[in-house]
Amino acid sequence: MVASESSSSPTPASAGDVTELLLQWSSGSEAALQRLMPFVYDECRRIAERQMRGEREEHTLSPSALVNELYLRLVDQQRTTWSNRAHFFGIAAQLMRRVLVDHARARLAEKRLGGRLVVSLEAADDVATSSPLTDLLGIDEALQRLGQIDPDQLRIVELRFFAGLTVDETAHVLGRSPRTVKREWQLAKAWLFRELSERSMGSE
Amino acid sequence: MPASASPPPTPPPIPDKAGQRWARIKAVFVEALEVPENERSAFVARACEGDTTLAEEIESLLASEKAAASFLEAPAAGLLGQDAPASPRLEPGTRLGAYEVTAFLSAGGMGEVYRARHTVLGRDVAIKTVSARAAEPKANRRLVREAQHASVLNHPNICTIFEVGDAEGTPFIVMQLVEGRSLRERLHEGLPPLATALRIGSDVADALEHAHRHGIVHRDLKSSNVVLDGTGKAIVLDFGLARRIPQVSTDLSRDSTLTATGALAGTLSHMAPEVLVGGQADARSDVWALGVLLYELVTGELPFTGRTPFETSSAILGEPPRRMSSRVPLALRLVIERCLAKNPNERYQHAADVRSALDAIARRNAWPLVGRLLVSTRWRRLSAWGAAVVLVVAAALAVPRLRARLDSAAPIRISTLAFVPMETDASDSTSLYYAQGITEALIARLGAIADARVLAPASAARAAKTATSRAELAKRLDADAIVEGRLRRSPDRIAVDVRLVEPTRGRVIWSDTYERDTRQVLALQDDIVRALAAEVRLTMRPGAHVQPEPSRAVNPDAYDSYLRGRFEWNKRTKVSLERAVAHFTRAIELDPTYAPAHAALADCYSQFGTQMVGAGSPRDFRPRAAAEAIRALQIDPYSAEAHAALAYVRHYEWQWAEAERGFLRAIELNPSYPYAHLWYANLLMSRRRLDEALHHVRLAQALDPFSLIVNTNVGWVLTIAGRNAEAIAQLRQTLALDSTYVQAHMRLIDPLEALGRFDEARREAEIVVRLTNGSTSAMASLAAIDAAAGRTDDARRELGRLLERARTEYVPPGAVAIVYAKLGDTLDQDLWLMRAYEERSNALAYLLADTTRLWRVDATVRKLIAAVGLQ
Repeated sequence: MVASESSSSPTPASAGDVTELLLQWSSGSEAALQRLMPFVYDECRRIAERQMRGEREEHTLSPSALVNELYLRLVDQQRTTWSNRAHFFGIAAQLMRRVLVDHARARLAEKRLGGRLVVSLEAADDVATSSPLTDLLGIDEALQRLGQIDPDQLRIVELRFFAGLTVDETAHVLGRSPRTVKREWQLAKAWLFRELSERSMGSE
Repeated sequence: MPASASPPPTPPPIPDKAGQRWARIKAVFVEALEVPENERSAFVARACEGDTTLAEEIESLLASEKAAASFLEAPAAGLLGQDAPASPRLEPGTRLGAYEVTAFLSAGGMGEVYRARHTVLGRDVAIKTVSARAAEPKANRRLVREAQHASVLNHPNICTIFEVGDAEGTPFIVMQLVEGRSLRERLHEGLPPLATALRIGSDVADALEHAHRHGIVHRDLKSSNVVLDGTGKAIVLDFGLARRIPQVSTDLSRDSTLTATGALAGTLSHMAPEVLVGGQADARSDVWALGVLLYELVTGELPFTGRTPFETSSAILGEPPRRMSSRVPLALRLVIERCLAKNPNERYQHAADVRSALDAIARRNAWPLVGRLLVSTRWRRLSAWGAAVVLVVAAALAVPRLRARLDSAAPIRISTLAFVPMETDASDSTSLYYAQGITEALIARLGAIADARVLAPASAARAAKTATSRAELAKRLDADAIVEGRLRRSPDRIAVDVRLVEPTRGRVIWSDTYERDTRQVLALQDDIVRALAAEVRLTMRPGAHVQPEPSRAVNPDAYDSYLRGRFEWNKRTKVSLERAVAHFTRAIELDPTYAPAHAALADCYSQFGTQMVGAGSPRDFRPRAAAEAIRALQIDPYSAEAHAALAYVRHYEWQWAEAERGFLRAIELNPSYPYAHLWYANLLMSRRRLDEALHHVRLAQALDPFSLIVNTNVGWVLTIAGRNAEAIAQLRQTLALDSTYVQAHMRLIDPLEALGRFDEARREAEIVVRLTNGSTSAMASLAAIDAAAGRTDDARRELGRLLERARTEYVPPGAVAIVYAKLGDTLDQDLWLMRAYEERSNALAYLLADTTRLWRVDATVRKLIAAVGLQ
């Protein structure tokens, strides 16, 4: 049920608003999606940064719960349905990907320019050869190409790798069987891995 | 900016050649994985039917799959995390300000902890540093600020912060060195004895209270943050995540903490639900964490767990805590459950109260003879004869003083007894509450066992005020005899002089005095009830619940609060309801096993969620009401008030059959309890069983003839039944009792409108607006009557203003729906009815009753009627 919209502020600031936008989006409003994006993006970024700093205590949110946290924080639990959540996780995974890739690019640039991080001799070498940062960028690029062949697999990789969901959670979100998801995942990985290996054989 | 996400599922596009090829690759690939490895190549070759390029492609993918076993299995964020440089450990001998590091102690989330020594004073301390990984100028500044705030805390159970220093841009915090093991570690080895657990809980609660008083919330209280030192004293660490309680009052708002720093700080296992969904942490979320801690202390486990963080957070948000062993004393279980209430408003609001509760339990356990916690009630099926025998015998045994017969005339058959308000010799408020409370209790008890009609005290009080003689009073109330009483109180004792008076000639039939220790006040009531029942030869009801001997003591302070609560509740205004809630809550805090307080609290909450009072959404209040009613029933399954309270909630949750059963049970247990009949009448109205509804509401009226709500509801039922003129007369009579009674004015609007007397109806609406200072319910009524009278523009304008208010205040959706109905805007009517449905508003229960008069009945309304289960 879509509520009649009275004049609302440009940036939603409460769980109710996010839910409202989600509901509108699932009714087909593209405008709602656009309004949703910056809001969710900021949250993603914040959470990702925390994750990257790494918490070393037990009971803390593992990376796979990252999007859960996002979901819990942003969405009014009472009003959403299962299908909204699937949509939400989809967006969140995409955004996480964006956030992490942007971060990787920024860090890489910093290192190259000798930014505020202490750059040891070994670290300088990293910049040229493979490092987690460059790996991520490569994956992102390859993933884009995979998406053109198989958009479903792209979603699965986003959910599993960038949002950190387990196979079961991914299956749950997409409404497919875990078996199917597993197989798709295996194929997607195989394809991506092959792409990256071939690339790295060439020049950097 | 991120690219737009894929829209909701659309049918898949027809695959082109490349797409078809990929589909084939996938199909063969997937099947090939099922085949044993040594047969794979052959299988692939067969499946590709000679297409060698296809087969090569698939083979290479299969090979890649093998090599990629761990590829991408670790989430991306973790990958990037590895990139950050590890923070160098400080070596012993490193100087940090005036301190010298002597040893590394542990690594925490944000940094490390070292043991250090002041180079001049020689004092051993602990120093916490912020790791380079977490280092970020803003975060550092925040940490320093928080440490400074926390450093004002000076309490034996709190790890003191001495100072905050700076070493080349990295801050460090110097704190009290606490040597010992964390509670968590100790619990791994086994559970402490109950007394110890209570003491630790009490100490931690005390620490929290101290911090809260200084405006600091811990935010990350957990068993690994509490250390037991050498003497076993509990010390709370790590107020490092603490922050100042914000000046703005924090209600259960769901605002994301976008602008706040430090997102979801805190540990999941001990996180309160409102914090989990991004709300502000405040004293009450600390109370939650305390509840988790207490749970751990008595069970050794966590109350909310799951295989994944998602499951855990779902449990925190929606599941009750895992059952505690019955070895844990009931009182303690109730304390813990209260700390773990999902809604922060239902928890202890102050850590100090948790402490009092724990201390009280500790004392009680130490003195088993004083105040047994369990209510022992035995149900006996007695024949009327047998009961009388038991009663007389018991009365003879229990009555401590000789009875004085002042008139030895033949015994009278009394079928209606009226209690006039008890007098007291003192004028202090406590005595007044006691007097009223005991009177009410006597009435309730007597009503439960005797086959007599016992009139409610408020009505009797009103009549007593204006009656010039006893005879007149009795005539007004239609009573055969009057009970008068006098209360005398001293700090430790209570005495009640009771007189039974025959009104026509004013002769005293019987009198006696009962005296007991204050703790035995319930038993005192028992004594009086038994004696009265025996004395007036009231017929025992078959199967009535009899307690031949006193079964429990009650905490006098709890009883005191309970009485105050009843005093306020009888006033039935929003403000007095709020006060009543506070009193009942206090009573429960002091004695969680006193059932009547729970039932009374349930009633308060139920009233808050009504459309009339409009204090908030029923969604907020009804669960609380249900919880309290259920708790009351757990303690005393024979409480008519508790059954009625629960049935009331069930009615508005559309559980028709259960609600009806509950009301009937309440009536069975105490036919003189007016609210059981009143609310049952409401239920019957919902089901459009109007004759029965009228019967019960009239019964309620007979029991409580001067009650404003009862009289108003009689008018309401008459309106629904279409007897508008009678309804108006009844409601005007009600207003003659009290012209400021809002609900009566509100109920007048409908019958007046039905008779076309729009101006009078509007006047009533205006009065309500004035009396309530423009409450949203009132404004809605005004708009509705304007719409009905044809003043469409006015109505729309008022509606517009109401909708504006809806953005910040609670507006009962049912009320808005009515306005649209009158305006003929069926679509909007439906929308708001849907909202009312989502909210489970009370209004929906009367959909069927109101169809002919109020709503435009379209498909949606019919669907709603079906959804609610009305027909």
